Amino acid sequence: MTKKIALVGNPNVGKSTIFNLLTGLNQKVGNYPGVTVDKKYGSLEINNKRIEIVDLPGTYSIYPKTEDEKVVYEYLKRDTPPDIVLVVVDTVNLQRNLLLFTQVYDLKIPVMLVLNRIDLAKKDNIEIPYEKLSSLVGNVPLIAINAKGGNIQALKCAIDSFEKPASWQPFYQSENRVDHLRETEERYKKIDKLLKFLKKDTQSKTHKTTRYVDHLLTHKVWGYAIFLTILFVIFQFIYVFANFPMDLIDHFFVNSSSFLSSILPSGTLTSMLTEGIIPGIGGVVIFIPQIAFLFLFLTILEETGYMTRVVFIMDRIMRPLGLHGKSVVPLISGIACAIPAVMSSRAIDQPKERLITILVTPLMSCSARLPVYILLISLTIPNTSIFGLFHLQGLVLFSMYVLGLIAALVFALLFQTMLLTKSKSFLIMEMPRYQLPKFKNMLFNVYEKCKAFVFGAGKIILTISIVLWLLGSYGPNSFSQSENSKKLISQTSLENSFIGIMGKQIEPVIEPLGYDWKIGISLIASFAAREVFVGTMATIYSIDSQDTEISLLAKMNAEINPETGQKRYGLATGISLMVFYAFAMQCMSTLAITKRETKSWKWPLVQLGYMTVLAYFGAFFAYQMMS
Amino acid sequence: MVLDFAMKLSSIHSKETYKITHIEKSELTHRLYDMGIFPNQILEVINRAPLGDPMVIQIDGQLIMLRLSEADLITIE
Repeated sequence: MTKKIALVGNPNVGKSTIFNLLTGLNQKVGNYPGVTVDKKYGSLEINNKRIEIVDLPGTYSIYPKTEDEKVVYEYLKRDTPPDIVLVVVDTVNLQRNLLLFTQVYDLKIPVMLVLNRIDLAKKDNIEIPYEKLSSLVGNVPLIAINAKGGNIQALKCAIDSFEKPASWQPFYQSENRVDHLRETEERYKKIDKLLKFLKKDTQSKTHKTTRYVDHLLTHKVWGYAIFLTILFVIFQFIYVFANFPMDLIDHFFVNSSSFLSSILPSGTLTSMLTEGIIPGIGGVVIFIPQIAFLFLFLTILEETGYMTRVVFIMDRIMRPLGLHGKSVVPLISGIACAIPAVMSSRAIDQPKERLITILVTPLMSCSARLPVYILLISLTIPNTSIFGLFHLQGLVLFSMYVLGLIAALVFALLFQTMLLTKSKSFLIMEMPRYQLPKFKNMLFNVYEKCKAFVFGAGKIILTISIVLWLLGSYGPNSFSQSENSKKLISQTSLENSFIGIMGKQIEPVIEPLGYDWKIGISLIASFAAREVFVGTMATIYSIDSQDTEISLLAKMNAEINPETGQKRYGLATGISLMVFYAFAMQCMSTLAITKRETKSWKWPLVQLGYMTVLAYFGAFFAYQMMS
Repeated sequence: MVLDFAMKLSSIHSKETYKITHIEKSELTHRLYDMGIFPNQILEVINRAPLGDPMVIQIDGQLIMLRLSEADLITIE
């Protein structure tokens, strides 16, 4: 029989690191039924025995007050409890960590105590006689590791040779289950007694470093300056370094398209492959470098412990806007993708602040907008530098992110005054000590996010690419009977295709924004997902001109507006389109997530409504002012 | 009376060490307890955010940030 293991522990104890080390790439992310907590599970083999492992969300207690705690509690209280529960504790902070341990132990399920970060404990001069500690906590098998060091062979052996202690003596006898406060106090008293033998030097060196760094990073001037600089550097970096792999990917897909169309017999299938599927896949793959870089940086900010300092310095600023210091994390994550960002808003305990955060998070410029920005910026913004220092295109890109942020904050304020519920707000949060990010964790996270993008958004993008190719290749005329009364289905020009007709129909509405019917088609097509814009453009232009060897950029650049005789993609249209994409709610997945998180269709519809109106008028004013 | 020395954590500006004497009952009390903040614990006031709120305390080797409204629930001496 397959052994089942569950990982339990406080937040920031290195649980994920241990999970990653144990499972390697054999891990998946799913969902617990009824709640919106990520379920991380995976498998490993020890001595040819298969073991399934679940990484439960980090909690301070198992008393179900938050969704995370509910998940942990219900998982441990199931009819078939796991074979071993690994309670991971931070050796540096045993007192509080052991609270959770005693709670889990008292459920009378097989427990193993995993002391993590023994290296830090050594630095802090915390000497732990492991055998003594084990005997004090009911002879529970105990293992001390340093997961950051990367070697967990000892843990694997301990799992393999795990044996339940013969006797079981609860830490707390529950004669009165209702008074949790008293129970918690009693548990702490017990733990204090257990830990009396530990000598401790609270003024440790590590803390001095952390406090010294905190002094700088939460400084009233430098704190904010550093935060802004970090964001700025990240975006400059992404822009400069993601370009090279993107060019390679672009060329690869353009070349394989033209190569295939030259060796395959011409026909509908070949045309579908070279004009629909390959540009479609290319349109997905090309974003991987940016997404990878962005998540790499976000993971570093999270892992080093810097993100909580941002919460610390931003809380007071966010509060008058109806947001919470913790809203900063969803908002910053929104730069990567609104979907996990909206889900991460769960960390905010107040319904109102959480709702406002969810409503405005999609205004943050997500990575799906990045390709749209990049395409339009390289098309309409000159490739020069300012003061010989800043890349102008990078600067415009940065401004798009600032625009999204400002819009999010302004609308948060609006919602704050419109939503009347008065609920008490609070912030109690641990500030982990600074630590170097773990390379493996970073890679896992980046891999996970890229995979989610390729297989999640990618499917939609590819499907839409094929549908678009169909709608763009055929029109009402394709199905008319020919003179020989033979049924004939023939390809037609883009202008006469179904999609051309739809695009032309909305042209009067979008003309004041500076768009033509081709852009109209892309707007319609990218309603489901923004990044489809680039793919659609690629599809439209590859159908429109027979030459597949020229890249999309060159084709769009050559497009002339027949009325003005100037470039179709001039500065005004470019800015207007970017503003439109910055504000518009073009993401089915985000709407679906919002529905799931708010448990009502009302809020996704509100989101869709206010963002569409904002996008239209924002783009309108941008175009009218620039042209 | 000991009460003479009792102060609210929220009113503290000096970075010194205090002992928690009482935690006001509220819906947050449990969270504070779970985080290791409960009577008789020793805490050290570390810092305040640039705009004066929230504040950071160190308790049992852990840095914890909390808003002044939460610190208001905590009586120290």
